[in-house]
Amino acid sequence: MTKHTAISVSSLSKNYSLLRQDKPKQEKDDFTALSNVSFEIVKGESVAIVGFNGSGKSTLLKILAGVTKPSSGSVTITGKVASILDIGAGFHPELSGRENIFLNGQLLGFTKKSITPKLEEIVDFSGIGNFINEPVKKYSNGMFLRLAFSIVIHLDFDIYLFDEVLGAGDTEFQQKFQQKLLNLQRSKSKTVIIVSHQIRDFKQAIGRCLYLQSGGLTTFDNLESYFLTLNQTSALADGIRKAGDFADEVTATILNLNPPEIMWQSEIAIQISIQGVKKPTKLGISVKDVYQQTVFESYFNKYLAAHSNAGCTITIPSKFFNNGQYYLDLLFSDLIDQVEIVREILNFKVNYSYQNWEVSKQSWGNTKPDIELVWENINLGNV
Amino acid sequence: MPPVQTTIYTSSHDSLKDSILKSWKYRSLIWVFAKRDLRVKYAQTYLGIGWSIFKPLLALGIYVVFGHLLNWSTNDIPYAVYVLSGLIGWNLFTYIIVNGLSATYESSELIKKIYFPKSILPLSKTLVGLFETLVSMLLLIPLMVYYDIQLSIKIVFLPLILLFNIAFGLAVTFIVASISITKRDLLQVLPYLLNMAIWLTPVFLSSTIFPERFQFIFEFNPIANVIEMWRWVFFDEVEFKFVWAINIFICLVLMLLGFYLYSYRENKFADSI
Repeated sequence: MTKHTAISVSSLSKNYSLLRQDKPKQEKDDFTALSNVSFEIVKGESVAIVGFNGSGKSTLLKILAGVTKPSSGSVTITGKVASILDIGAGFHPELSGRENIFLNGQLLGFTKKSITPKLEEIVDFSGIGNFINEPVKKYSNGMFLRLAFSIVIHLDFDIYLFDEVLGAGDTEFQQKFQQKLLNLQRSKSKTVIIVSHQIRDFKQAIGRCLYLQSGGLTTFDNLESYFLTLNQTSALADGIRKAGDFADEVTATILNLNPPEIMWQSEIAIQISIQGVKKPTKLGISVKDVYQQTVFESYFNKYLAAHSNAGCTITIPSKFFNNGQYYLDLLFSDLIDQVEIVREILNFKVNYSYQNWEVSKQSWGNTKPDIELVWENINLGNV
Repeated sequence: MPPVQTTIYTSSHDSLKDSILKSWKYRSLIWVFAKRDLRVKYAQTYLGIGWSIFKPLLALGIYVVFGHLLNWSTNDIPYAVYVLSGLIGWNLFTYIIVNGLSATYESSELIKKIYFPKSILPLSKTLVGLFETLVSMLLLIPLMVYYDIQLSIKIVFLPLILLFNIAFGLAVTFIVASISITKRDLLQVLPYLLNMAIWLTPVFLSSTIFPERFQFIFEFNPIANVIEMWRWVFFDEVEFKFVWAINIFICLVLMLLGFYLYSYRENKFADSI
């Protein structure tokens, strides 16, 4: 543990004794939610905790928040923790929004005095307006969420724990949240831990990624490498698949020199052959990035004949994809628009060389097309 | 720059001293919760806080009617005054127990999401109970003026009585709560136990209606002693008993013991509620 460690977890385990109401009393069952988990988080880091349902994410957060005790091991936390396991947990429905700001703030360890100067800011950010003097039981889910969130981000914590807090928020709120998260990360002094099943939405704000699986822990340096591993376990990527109702067998091959590595400057040629087409079929492709987000989708506008062997070569233009891993889905569609997707039949990796690229080495976005933007009528605002 | 706080969580339990220090650190929450409860208690009623006066009045009315019908003796104190002076202590006692116990279930959502020492919950309910007690006492004053009874100078010992009363209420709350975190059977019988206890306590009847050989029940029943002590601070006629001193001591020890037990078991709250 160093001076800059915000959270230090060492050989942490948590067992729950199950209330087996279907069994006689003598048989005691234990459930291990976390087993021997250790990690350290440095001050200023933004870390995602990922894993499937029941992998122990919430238990870990509860222990970090001090809500429940470890069964063994220890946790050392340096700084003031905002444990936002459920946003608005401290709200009382009968009290007004304004009163709840104080109630919630005091529950999170602030004095009334330190909350008062921030009151106006909190109300403004929440966008609640005149409803601030109404009991919160009359609020909609969204208003409730916005107010609760506004309280938390305007109070001065060192460490923020977010557990699936975006559930009821609308797009505008989610964008506000992401913006805030990004600013927290850029501040370099706030530590953020976030648990979400929509973690790809936070890819710009997240550094390391702690992956929990049946109570154990794997650490990834960034979200991309986590998704790469996740995709690897699901993809066969041998290029040969069945296509159920549409064809007996489909084969896809990359014709470039040494697949799956492809330079940004080269075109990508993909050969597809389809054995035993069962009915008139429209063929399409879809390319996804590592976060499983679609880059583009495209269909060929003629039908393949039924009871035939068909094929084609598709060329994707050069200088299009950004740096990174991509996955190819094949799409089949029939005359009545029934669709079948053959997932991840191929994957390829695009290398972008950074020569002559001055602005930033790493740029977000799943495409990097070779186009020149026109910057005109430039006014730099000189007085 | 303010000092950075470091928190360590392990599986080990806090000592009694640490538990007390933690509760002390979070003491402002006692007031925050109590204020919330008072604000919310009579929400959407016409009379609002007025109910704090009307409810004891209603109870008083019921006891006075039946007390007169049954013609219970009350050591020369007018029956209405006798009952109210008994009810004040009894209501505080039961308020602490009933609300202190339900507070953990009432706040289960909070307990699962935010850390605070759970002892804050019964303590804040005690504060609310104390408020109601003071309101009931305001009711006693006009009643005593009406019956022309002199308020005793012993009223200066009121804080001591309150301490005694609260200590016993909290002792029962802490102990019952720690036992019933995992298995809740005790909570089922508790209302009946309290119902029974009021018959062994001189609230609306006097201990003198019991035969001599059962008098020891009143001697060893702490809440009976509390109630008698309440009358002692109000009325000159009632005399001090030495057994009360022993009772106060026992109650304080029980409260500390209960508090320790409660703090020892408190990490089970979030997992068991």
